[in-house]
Amino acid sequence: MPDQGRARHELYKIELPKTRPDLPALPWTCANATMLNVYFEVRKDGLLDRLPPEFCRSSPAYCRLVVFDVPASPIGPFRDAFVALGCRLNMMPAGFVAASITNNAKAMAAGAFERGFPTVLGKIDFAADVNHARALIANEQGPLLEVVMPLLQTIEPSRLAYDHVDSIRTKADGGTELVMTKPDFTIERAAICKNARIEYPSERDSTWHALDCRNVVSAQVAHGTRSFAAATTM
Amino acid sequence: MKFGIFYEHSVQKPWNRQSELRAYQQALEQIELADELGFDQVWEVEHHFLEEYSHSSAPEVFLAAAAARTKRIHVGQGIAVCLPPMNHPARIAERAAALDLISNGRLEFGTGRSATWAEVGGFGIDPDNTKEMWDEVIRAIPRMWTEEEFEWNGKYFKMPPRNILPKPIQDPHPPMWVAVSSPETAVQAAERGIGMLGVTLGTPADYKRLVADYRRIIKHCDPVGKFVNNQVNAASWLYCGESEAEAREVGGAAAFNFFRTAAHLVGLGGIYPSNAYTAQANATALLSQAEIFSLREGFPVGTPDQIIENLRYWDEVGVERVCCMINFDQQIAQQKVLASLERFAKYVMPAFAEDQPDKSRDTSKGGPEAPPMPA
Repeated sequence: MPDQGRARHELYKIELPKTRPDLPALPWTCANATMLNVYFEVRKDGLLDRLPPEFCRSSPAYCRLVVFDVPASPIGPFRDAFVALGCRLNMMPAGFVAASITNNAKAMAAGAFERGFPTVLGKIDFAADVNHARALIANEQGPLLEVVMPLLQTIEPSRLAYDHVDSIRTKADGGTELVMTKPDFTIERAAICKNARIEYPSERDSTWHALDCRNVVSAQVAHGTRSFAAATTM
Repeated sequence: MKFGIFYEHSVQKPWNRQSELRAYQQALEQIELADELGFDQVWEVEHHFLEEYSHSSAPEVFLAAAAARTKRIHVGQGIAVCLPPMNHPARIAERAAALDLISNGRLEFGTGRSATWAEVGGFGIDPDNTKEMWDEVIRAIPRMWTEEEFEWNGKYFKMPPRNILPKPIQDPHPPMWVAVSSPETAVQAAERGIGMLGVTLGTPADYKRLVADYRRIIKHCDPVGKFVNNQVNAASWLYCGESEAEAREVGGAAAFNFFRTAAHLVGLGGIYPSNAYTAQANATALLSQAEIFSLREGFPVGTPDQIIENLRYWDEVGVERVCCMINFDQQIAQQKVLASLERFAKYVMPAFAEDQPDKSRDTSKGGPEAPPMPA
């Protein structure tokens, strides 16, 4: 039998603010967005400890790291990043969001209320051109990880396709629910990187470190229009 | 139509030291019976690191044991992974030839390149190159089997002149196949004049287009071997039950668990964008639980009469051979597996027993003299 996740939903329960922040209605259309996407292998125990029991791990255990740079949106420019656990739900491919960071308070609120992403405020340094890309992700305690993508190779955008991600959203009554966020990116330009790496500047006790990269599978840079949409109940 | 069985050597958790031993030993007992009952082939996969799904990384070793216990049944490598960083081509040729000798000319030589990240990534192989690697290796191996001084200077491996030994007993060499799970590979099999070894556990509907393309194109093939093997071997799931209800309960449930385990493997197409593998979001081709338990049309699971009816569809599609999985791990008790094989041989095989010429060395639809494919 495939290995089931062993994380309790409470791990992803958050303290919602008493009043819902005044946010522009989702979805937010964000032109000229750039995404870094890296699939990488992880140790299975770190993944299973953070995966809810509705899901099973895949073989081998892997994660998906996504970093977005959004230069313009209804809430202004923002950057966000998440790590999703590669898994299966009812035999179908899935990715469960285990950690998320943004540099924008409104994006964080939208993540918590609308998407169920366990988002915290942090800092994301981001740079991408036609040749290379990199992003440094930090929370308030300091740097967490850096993704480095040298020697980009342009590819046909239709070669890329991404799945939805799943998450646990805290409801207003304090309960939790599984929700799904559809792929929200229309790709106009794309490149792959065959020698990407993820580096960890220091030893830290964090979800990002517990899911440290053991082997990069593939890495891509995509540029296009992002639709920052609300999650739907599964 | 000919019938065979095939093995992944699935071993479900929880494991103990006896789990893999039981899987291997029970399979050997099943193969002995299949040989006595008149099954034509037994195929064994080569997979690496695919826990639970397949603990079968050394098919030549297992098939040698099977050959030693049997007299007639053909032993098929389904497949030998033809990627030089995983298996040096000379070692593939040597081991296959040894198996052909041990089985006294009963080897069916299947080729392929792996489709999971666990395997390709586990050996540090660039997925973008696997199709080219396979193509180079399958052109070298027939020459290794037939030339006394083999020399190669290719893109993915090089060898100074050597005599690759032993040579196979089949003359000029064993029939060659390639594992086919996509329309592209069906066409490539036909272009190269090798057999189409379907590895999707599917139905006639799944195979219809693949077989039609294969049949059309192989007439004009440029064979990589010394002869054309223009056969189609499909894969499915077999349980010949005492009743429809028992077949669904026993065979259907085991099939479902096999598919469930397969669904947890990471296919290359999902997480590695590449022209070498079908582009897709992380979409493993899956059958739903409902589909499995309703036993899709053409699945040979049911009573003997139902199976005969289902196999007629395969015949209509143009498949000459159907080889089937007959258990998932030890989920079906060994006595029930053996009884299923016996019922199949007694009640189903006679319905398909008309003599057919062996097409494995057909040169009438191509061959060394056939025109090459246009560039």
